[in-house]
Amino acid sequence: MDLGLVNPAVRVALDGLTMRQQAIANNVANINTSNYTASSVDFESALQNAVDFPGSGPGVSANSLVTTSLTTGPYDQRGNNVDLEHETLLGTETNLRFQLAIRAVEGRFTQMSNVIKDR
Amino acid sequence: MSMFSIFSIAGTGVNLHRTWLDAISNNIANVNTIRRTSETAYQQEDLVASPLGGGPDGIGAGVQIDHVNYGNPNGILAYDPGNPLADAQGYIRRPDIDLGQQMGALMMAQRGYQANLAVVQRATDAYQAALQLGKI
Repeated sequence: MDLGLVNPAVRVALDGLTMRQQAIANNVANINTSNYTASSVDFESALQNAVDFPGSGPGVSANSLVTTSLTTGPYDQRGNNVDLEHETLLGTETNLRFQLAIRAVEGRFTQMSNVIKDR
Repeated sequence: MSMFSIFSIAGTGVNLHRTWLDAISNNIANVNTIRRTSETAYQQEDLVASPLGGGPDGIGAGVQIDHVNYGNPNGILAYDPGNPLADAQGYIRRPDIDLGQQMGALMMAQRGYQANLAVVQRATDAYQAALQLGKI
């Protein structure tokens, strides 16, 4: 029996946010590497689409909703286009959103726990 | 999805920038190293890095040090007959190091090191939140 404890959209969001953190870590690690193009992770629009139109596409639970692409920002003279300010802000935002998603899961667990304990 | 992979990715960045700092401090320490004209001069060390592929979920795995580029072995010939290392014509070999360029690189390496450590700090917060799951 599936209690549906974790909303599939939250699950995809947690996966996507974790991958975005990895991409940011990779970009910052290569901040001084010559000929490096920063990568970015997107899943919000695909996830929104899957939630709005459940019948079409790969469904809400599929990991294919998370896509990685190369950024198109301006390059410096070393051929590197990592924008440290952007990466830092995005990292902080991603971190907070990750904790928010964790809290959503946590709330559902607490709810279930209360039901089981009959309170 | 591998567990705690952000630490290993950011770790490569921290490691690269610390090694870079080591190379720069070695260059600056040797900025006045004088050799005989019969020897090669102290050669400036420059790191060459490249992205490390094959990470989790199609995202790169960080950065790696390819090799070390060594500077001009001829250095700069200088006339200093009073120097005990001077040859018969009074010449010595100084290292070909641009101190201003090294100081600029020092700042870049230091900032890069700090930026990577900030990523580690953020990942710690996120993982810690995830580890609280189930504690009701």
